[in-house]
Amino acid sequence: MKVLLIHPPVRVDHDPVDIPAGLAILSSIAIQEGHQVALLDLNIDRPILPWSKIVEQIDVEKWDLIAIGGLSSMYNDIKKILQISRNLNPDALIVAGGGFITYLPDKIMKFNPEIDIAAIGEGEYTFREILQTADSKDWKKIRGICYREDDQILYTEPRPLIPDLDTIPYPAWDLLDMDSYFKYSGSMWFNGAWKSKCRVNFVTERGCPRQCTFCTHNGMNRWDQIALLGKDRVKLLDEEAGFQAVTRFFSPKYVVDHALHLHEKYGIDYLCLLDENLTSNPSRVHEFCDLWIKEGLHKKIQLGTAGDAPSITPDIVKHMREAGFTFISIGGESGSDKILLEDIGKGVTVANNQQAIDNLISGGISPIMTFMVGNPNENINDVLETVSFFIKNKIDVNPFICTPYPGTKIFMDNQDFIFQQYDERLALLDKTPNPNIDENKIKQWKDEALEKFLLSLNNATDYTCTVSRHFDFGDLLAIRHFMHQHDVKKLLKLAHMRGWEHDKKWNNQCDVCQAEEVLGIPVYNKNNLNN
Amino acid sequence: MGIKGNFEVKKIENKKPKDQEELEALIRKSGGGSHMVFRSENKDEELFVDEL
Repeated sequence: MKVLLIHPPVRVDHDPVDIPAGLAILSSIAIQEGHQVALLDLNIDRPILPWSKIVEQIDVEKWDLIAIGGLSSMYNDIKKILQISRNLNPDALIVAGGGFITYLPDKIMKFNPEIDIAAIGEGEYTFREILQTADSKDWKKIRGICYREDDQILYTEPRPLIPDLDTIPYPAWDLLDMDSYFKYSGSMWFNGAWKSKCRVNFVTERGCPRQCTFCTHNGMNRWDQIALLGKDRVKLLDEEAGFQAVTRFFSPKYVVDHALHLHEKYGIDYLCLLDENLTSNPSRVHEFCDLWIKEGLHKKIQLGTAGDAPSITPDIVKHMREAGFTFISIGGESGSDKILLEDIGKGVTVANNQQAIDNLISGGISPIMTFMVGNPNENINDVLETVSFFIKNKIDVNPFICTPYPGTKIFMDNQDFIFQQYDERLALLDKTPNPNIDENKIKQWKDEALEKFLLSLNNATDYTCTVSRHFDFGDLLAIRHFMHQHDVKKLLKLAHMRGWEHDKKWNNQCDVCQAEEVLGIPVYNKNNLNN
Repeated sequence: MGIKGNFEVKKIENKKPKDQEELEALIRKSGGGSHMVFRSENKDEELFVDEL
């Protein structure tokens, strides 16, 4: 068969720093299965190609199978690419996979009649079986898919997680324009990485031991499977496939051999391990660092990764420094324990984050931290605690806006609230219920709102919609700006303008409170909240 | 243009359609509908099928 894999554009306002290794792995599998395979990477060009060129490029062959995957934030472009692909290839089998379809497969297939098969969750084994079944089309035998039959969208049995990640082939790097990616090797402004001339990123961990309410793992985590399938079905999978670990890793040998291969083939000088949480498995980190140093790679390739604050101990930092790690990124998220523990459920405290920063700095590795704002119960006092943490640690960060991507707990808990932000009829009905409105009509409005939401999804650096119970979109955009500026005074003034009660501990930094004290009259009162 | 294969795949050069006829042929190929046909750094220049 002639197989085309398409990587849609992503984060188009940045340089293309993320190499689509996942689609390149699927390309390897298709090559192993004996097919003619092409990978169309629509993210490598800046500016992104005009649609006319995409049409022309897809049209150079008649494809038998077209596979497309991506994140929920890429849905808008994916939808257009699906339409173009189907029009140019009416008879092709169109397979979709990745985060954008894993959590809502039947809805996405309903919204996009071009899709024949949705691969749910981890795709490698599923994609191989789809290729092997393309002639017989006996799809019901393939676990972990949604497919069409007689105008129905049917689910097959769920697929267990891949027990041994080392069985996955290396990505078909030859099918990517690596020289174009290497032009952006220095685009990661992290210590060490910005000097790189030849950087590669890949993932060596699937899943995460933390279960943050804003995060998903593309169905590659036992927790995700519980959310998708329910506890009972996952228990059955546990019995059948052995316990499905929350977090799975490629072996240190697999990773080191892969890095050696890339160094010999391309001369890579920097490797970003885009793991969710590499340090959460300390024994594996030590084993990996030992092997990396033994092979002499610490003199050839520098490393960067993401870590887990409580596991960033002095001995781990020392060993990682010796292996060549120049930065570790930590999801700090908030300077408020209330938000970290209750809203996000990370199981990490502000003290853990502080300790990790101190250990990294004293051990000679740069800490990189990301934060967010707009968690459901986050109020102005939590925001002020976070800014206080920024100031104390001299952190220059523009926080992400807490965004309810499909599959996350905050999406599942807030669906009606999200839909109301995309359909004023639903918002009005929530305030003033009307039993005369047909339930099917409401269901239809919710479906339409869901697709509007999906089409609007972008990176969490932009506002899409909110799950905050305290802040509206205007508040969030202003708060985010003043957090980035470390402007406590403006945040406190905003609190008075909006009628949010701030903790008394901030009074000595609050110009409004001080003015009120001097004058003996309230500057902002209930009749004057919009000043 | 980032397309590569394990067989020879024709790469398209990044040039604009030379005339209205070529543009309309492309639109027909893409399936029309409501999706965007041209993308540009300048949003005002972007064309949608519905506008043509």
